[in-house]
Amino acid sequence: MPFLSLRSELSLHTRCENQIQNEIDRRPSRAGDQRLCDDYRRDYPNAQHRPTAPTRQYNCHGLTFACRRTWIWKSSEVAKILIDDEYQRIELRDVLPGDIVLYTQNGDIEHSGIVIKTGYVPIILSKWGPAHEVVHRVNDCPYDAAQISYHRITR
Amino acid sequence: MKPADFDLSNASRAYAVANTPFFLLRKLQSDPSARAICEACPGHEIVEELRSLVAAEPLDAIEAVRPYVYLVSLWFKPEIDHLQEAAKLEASIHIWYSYLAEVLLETYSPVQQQLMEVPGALAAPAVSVGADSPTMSRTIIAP
Repeated sequence: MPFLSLRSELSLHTRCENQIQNEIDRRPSRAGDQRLCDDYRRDYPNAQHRPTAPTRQYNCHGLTFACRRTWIWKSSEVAKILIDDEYQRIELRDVLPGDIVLYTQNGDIEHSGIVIKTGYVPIILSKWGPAHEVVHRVNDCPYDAAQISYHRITR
Repeated sequence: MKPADFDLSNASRAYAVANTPFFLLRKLQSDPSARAICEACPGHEIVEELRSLVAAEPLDAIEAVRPYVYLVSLWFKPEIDHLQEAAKLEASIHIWYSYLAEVLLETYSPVQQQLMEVPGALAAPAVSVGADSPTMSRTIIAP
């Protein structure tokens, strides 16, 4: 393992070769982080909580758009990806596994995930901030599901 | 009470799942602890606490969210001076600190206090209506 600084940015580009601002925070998790994760495991009993430890090396957008490699926290960067990678917005009735879901609040894309199962309520794989990864119903999470949208890359 | 005496467990719960600084900000603005600190502690005291906090690596989940709660508590203050002072602190340990300080400065709107004379007697000598956000007026009705 090479020497890595505690915080750094990956060279990460959209299909149009625009850099996506990101930050990996390699500092170890703090006291209390695991307990907070356990609280969420208890508060969302219908979700499937994956056995991943809390980490600030990647977040939901890092999982959805960057293969779990980094943390993307600016909505403008997510918007850049959607445009440059030519994501198409799709309706709920057309959602398929592999599509992505965005949770937006007052213009802030506060959460994202990957659809892994469809049905009356889509099932999502996502990461909850620095906490763990969770498989959950689209509306069964700590984020506001009032404004969600689905997107797909078609080519 | 001192700023460090307030219970920040709700704030740390929000920080534990925050993907973006705006999510954290929304949660802290609606969390009673930030407003309680604003009301109980003078601005200079909060800034002094911040000064020592931002210089050290947080050791636990509560300490990690504390600078953000203090920033929001300064945003609730009726004067901007202390928020401006806090925004100048070097806080690179806390990734979202400078960004959120800038956002709070941009969205700052002072609480207005108005004294309204109401003719006739009132049952209560004074009625105070707390503002839900700094953009709302705080109306004090005097007899």
